[in-house]
Amino acid sequence: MDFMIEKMICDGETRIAYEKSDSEFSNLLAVIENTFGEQQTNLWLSISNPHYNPVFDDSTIAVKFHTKPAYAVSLENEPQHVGRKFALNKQWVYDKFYYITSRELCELPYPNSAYPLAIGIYENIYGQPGDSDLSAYKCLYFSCNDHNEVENWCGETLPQGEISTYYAATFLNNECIRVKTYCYDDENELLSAWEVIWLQHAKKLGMSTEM
Amino acid sequence: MIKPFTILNQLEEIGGTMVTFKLVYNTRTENQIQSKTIKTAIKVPTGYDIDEYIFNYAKEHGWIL
Repeated sequence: MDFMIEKMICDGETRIAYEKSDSEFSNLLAVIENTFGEQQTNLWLSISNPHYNPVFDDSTIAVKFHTKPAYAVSLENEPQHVGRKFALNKQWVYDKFYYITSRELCELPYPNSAYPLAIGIYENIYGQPGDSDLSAYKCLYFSCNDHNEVENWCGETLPQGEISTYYAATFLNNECIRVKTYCYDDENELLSAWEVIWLQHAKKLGMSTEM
Repeated sequence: MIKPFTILNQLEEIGGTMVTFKLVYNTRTENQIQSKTIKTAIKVPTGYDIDEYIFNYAKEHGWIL
């Protein structure tokens, strides 16, 4: 049975995230462990298939955590979510921190009627291989009810999910270098309603929850 | 670079450095994952990199995943 939790499409390539109960999870874990050695997966929610990531200029596997790694909890600027990227050829490991944002807080550009939901940045954690400073890269995750407006904004034709569609723009020094589209075809998919996740965090953080 | 531990104090001693550090680690109880903070001290022998020694020590104890 297929336990896909997310489908992301970018530049014609599809990245699918498989949760632990999917047999593909084990296959992809084997790919990671073949390059990076044994992994502790207690906190992992999903593993993606390898896909090209321009931030690393490499084939990359993305891991989502269901629970933040402990070190992230003690940070002064604690992220709301954490993921991990394995750049397969460079053999780098970077964690991705996701911070909730809003129209008031977001300084990155986005389509006029879009709602900025989160910003993702790359962090190198002590003990993990990878010596490049990737702080110039940021991803802005947003929702927008007007799909055409997003297409016009980025100058690309983008796919749409049957149930919901969300977007992320990757910026290098505030210049958009790619747009990712997250397509959900089933309302039971765990991440198919980003606004709900955003609301939960916004309330916890005492942010205005008006959208 | 983010370090998954915080060094609180270092005291030079014969044969090494007594380092006090703290870190947050995950623990699982009845299917729930919780975060706990540990504060402890270890002696890092002379000639070892302090960060690397603490990192390996914490990893061996399962505090860093």
